[in-house]
Amino acid sequence: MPRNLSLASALKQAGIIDQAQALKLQQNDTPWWLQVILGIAAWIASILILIAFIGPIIALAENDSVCFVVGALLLGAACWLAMQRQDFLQQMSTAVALAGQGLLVYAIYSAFNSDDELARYGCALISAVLLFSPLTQLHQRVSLSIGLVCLISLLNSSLWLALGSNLLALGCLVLWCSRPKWATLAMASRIKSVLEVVTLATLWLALHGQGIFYVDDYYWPADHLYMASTLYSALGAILLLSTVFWLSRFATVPSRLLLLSVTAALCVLLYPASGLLISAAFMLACFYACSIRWYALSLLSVLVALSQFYYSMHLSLFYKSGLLALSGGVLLVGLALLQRYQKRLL
Amino acid sequence: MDRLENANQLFSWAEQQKLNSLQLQQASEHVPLQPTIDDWLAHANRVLLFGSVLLLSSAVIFFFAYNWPLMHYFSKLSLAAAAVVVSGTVAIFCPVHSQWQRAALLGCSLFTGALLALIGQTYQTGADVWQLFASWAVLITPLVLLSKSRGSYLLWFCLLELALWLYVETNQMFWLLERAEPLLQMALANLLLHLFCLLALPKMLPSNTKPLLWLSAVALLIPLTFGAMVGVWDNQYQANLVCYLFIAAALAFWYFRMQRDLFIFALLLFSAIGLATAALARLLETDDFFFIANLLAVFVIGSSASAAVWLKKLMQEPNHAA
Repeated sequence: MPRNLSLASALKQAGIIDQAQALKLQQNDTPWWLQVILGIAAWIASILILIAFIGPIIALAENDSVCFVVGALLLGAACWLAMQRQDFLQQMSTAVALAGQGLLVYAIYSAFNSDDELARYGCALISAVLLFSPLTQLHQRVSLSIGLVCLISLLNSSLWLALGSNLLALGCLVLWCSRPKWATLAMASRIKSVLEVVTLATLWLALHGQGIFYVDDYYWPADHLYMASTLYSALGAILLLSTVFWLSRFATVPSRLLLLSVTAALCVLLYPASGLLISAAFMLACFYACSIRWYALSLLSVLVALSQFYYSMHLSLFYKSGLLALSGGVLLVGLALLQRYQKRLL
Repeated sequence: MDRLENANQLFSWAEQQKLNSLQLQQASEHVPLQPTIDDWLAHANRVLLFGSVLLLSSAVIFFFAYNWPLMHYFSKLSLAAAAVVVSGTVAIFCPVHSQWQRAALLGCSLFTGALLALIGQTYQTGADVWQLFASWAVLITPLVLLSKSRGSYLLWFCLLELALWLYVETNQMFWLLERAEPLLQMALANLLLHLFCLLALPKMLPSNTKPLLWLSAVALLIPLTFGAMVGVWDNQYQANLVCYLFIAAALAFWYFRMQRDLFIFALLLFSAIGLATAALARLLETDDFFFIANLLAVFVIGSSASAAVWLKKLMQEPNHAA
């Protein structure tokens, strides 16, 4: 039996919800794979329509005001489509809304003497404003991603990027760990959209921070890179330790000490692998928040961070091999102690 | 993981305002909204075990990479072989079908690939790259069968697909559009793999084999559909088109009537819509672009929306899978 059916029945039997609400909950949400397939079809249809209608208008007009008006009209049409029930039209609304947003950003860029910085601020602002519109959750995520990329691209210091990335990570970890508290708020679905986008961005930034020496050595001064790398590592270690400290708050004192000791040992040994530490913190937080999908993504991030660690050329392979071997040993010791603790419980 | 999925579902309903805070609180008395001690212990066991295997294996690989230029080729081969033997020995002495054994067999499968790459590199046999992946897949077949683990089967599938892809690929940029045979070969080879997943895999693997079946369906339908769509435009690809019609019809019958699986049926349905769109574009190719673009858009919208409505109705029925 599908999960939502069995769960809704259980809630109804317990008297928590009535028959009408149970029927509403038992309506199958569209599975993710059908949403992806519909999304592809909707995007193809939307592109065809936009090329047929909008392309000629823009090409003939060559006027910023026309772009503004057409962009606003597209956003209005997208809002109308988003209020329809069919999944396909919901997907189309995302494509049309993004086309409208793109036109508005282009109009800002063109109207203000091709100022790309202003255009990026404009893009971020439009994304933030549209978060409060009736557009779909898919659109919120895509639009927020684009807005966030625009904002991050405006940072011109590796140190600020390191600090910003870790602050975002802190915010995400707090939200994942406090999911029961905000899940019932009126803005919960918007908070969830923001949380998912920022989590993805933070994981990407963590991997970027770990590989900062060979990714960005031509872009930022070398001494700033060392300081940025140190910030990533130090703050990543603090985030992982804090996450373990908070999650183990109900454990007994000896267990908690053991967990923190193992975590501290890993933080010291894997200090150069800041991406690994931050991804591990997210793994634990997402597990606590019962989000298996994001747990799996964090696990994937751990694997990518480990592969990327191979290419950290500022450390020798021999040194890295030693660090990994010792870390593996620490985990094995932790496993042995855990098995002993479990035998005592039984 | 079931408890966590239930909790996640409750949170999702609350976030969509389908449950209020009082209802969520009442539900938490029946379904814990946080992982229990047992969940944490099971999770910790899994993470610590696979984490330590991963880190130690990585340490070995990094160590090999460091000493590589200095080592005699015989030492290199001995080390790689030793890794295979040690992981194999661990697998033999572990309890049958335990997590330890599955982890050891997966490690052994990975080290086998490293050993083969090393042999190929050392002796410069001149073999094509696809032969490396094919040999790797063949050699780890007994390990995969013994492990009864989805991770090992996934590795095996990826190796077979890589070998197949490298076998048919040429170095030309648009090689998929040069000759019809590579696409047809890929489609037919993936059909065999899909039939293996459908008929043999459920008997070999105790856990849910659906994800592997779905992956094999995606791997089959991509080259099949692409070849058929090109076949609408290019006579050279007509064999692809004919194969598509037969295979898609047979699979649609099977997954709709015999062994209902909505995910695969949905893939077939939408691939048919893609093919029909390509055929419609071919029919209208001499007409005005504005007219074609709009008609195609309307066709895609209408057919996709209808397909989605039908699929959602089928999902309401109790006898569907996916």
